[in-house]
Amino acid sequence: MFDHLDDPRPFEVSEQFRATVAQRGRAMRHRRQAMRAAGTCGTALAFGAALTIARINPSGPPEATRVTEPGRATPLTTSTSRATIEVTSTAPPASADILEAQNVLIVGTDSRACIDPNSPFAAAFGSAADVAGERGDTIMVARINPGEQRFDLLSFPRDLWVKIDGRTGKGRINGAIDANNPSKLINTIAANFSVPIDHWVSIDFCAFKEIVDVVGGIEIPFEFAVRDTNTGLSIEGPECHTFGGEEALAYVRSRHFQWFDPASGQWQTDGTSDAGRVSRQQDFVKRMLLKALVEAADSPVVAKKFVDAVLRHVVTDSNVTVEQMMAWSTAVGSEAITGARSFQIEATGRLINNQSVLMPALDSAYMKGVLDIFRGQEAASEPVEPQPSVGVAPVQIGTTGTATADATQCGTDD
Amino acid sequence: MNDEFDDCFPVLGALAYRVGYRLLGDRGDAEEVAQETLARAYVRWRRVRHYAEAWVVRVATNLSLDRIRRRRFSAPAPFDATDQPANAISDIHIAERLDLARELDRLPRRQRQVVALRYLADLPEADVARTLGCSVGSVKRHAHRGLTALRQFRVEGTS
Repeated sequence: MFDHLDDPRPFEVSEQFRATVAQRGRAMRHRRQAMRAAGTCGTALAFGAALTIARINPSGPPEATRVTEPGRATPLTTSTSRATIEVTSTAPPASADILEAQNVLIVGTDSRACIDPNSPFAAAFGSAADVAGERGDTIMVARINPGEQRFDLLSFPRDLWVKIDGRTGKGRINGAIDANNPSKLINTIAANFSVPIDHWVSIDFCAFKEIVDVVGGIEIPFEFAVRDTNTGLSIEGPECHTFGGEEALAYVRSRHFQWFDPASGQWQTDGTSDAGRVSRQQDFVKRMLLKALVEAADSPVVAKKFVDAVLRHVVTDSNVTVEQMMAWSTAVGSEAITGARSFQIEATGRLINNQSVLMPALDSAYMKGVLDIFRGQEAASEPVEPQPSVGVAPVQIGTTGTATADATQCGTDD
Repeated sequence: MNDEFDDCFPVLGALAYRVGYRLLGDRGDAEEVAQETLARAYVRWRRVRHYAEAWVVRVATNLSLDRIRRRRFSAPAPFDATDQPANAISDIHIAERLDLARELDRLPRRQRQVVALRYLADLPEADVARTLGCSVGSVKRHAHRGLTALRQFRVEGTS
């Protein structure tokens, strides 16, 4: 029927054709293996890079620069099975174009509802009594840029001292988290950092735990033994460790993270505390996204369970459906996620009213470049590469370096 | 490479190339589509091998459609070629190919699968039915509906 559209010259499989297929196939297989392991640490991605950019400026400016966001307000309606929430987006009206870059605010909230009190990791979640002291809230902005095949993460330490929307004074940024009024945090981020938010996603521990389990656990290679006596985390390195849901929580919530240094024969503490925790979270989120993408693509059963878990526990604005999330991940591509850049808001430690807080330090050229990425003005500024930092972070926090990658890589067969 | 894959290679390569060429009308493009398709089949061979032909046709079709979509994005409309003989693309079927691609894009999934397998790849009805896991009757039905949709734009007077 369409014979006339055929190539008049006969097609033959040439040696060169064969060679190209073989070469591409091998490259693909490597990528898939890397994705299976959700990013082998040997390839300087994720962890090392994420950690090192978590710089705490020792001599930052005393005050944060504040800029107000002139973006038009678009009402977003939130519908969940539980409640309907009105949100005002600070970004210009979103275009339906899938290639449009989007900022998605991800808020991780504490909820002990699905933690078994007899679990060895129950300690990670504190008793009901000490909620105030150890809230494990997480605030991240994910910029999804399908047009440029980029995926970037920006984390906001929860102790950042900022002007809170709707209040006269300043406070810790996690004080702006309000499950019933996401606009509060969205406006706070817009006002203090001029980063517009298009969508928001709120994920609690139940969802996190379930998603980890649904995708069959998350593998992370460790070069050294690591532990957190507060959360019950304990991993004997070197190994490729597969985290189940609850153990994963103990890992991403760890604030007293230690690694065993064979050279000195002693446990070393990750001095970065919250910054280290945030880096581990960013790394984990990337691995989880990749694993979910790979597993869901491979198995309809996993895909369905994943979707169910998301539907049950993840609260979003009404424009973020599971289909939308899938469309984004497909559009941006797993390679973009593997190569994701992770950033943190730089800050200086301060004592205010006897509380230790972090003053945002946004004036450095580096930080401006980072913020420009999330403002959609990357082109206008110097290219920002996650750069190795000075001091603060230990060289390794238990993940492999290239030298021993072979021993601990989480590679699997294809 | 895997022996079984090696054996199927020439057949699958030709199949992917045919699909690619019918849609794209360009040797280089069709070859790239075929290479990409086979490389993908290779890494997933364990899963793909049981219905390799259908899989290859589907992937080659999608890759070709992707390419056409991207072309529209980046290049000036290929139709201009007919207005500027000096610049004319040697492919006299370019308009038909583009219509075909656009229309395929719009067909419901099942119809598109059947049309691609049956008419782009020229697989026999029985094979199409087997690979899609449906009866020959329903292949005929989908093919008929798909073709009716395609017919309205098929360029008249094609050689």
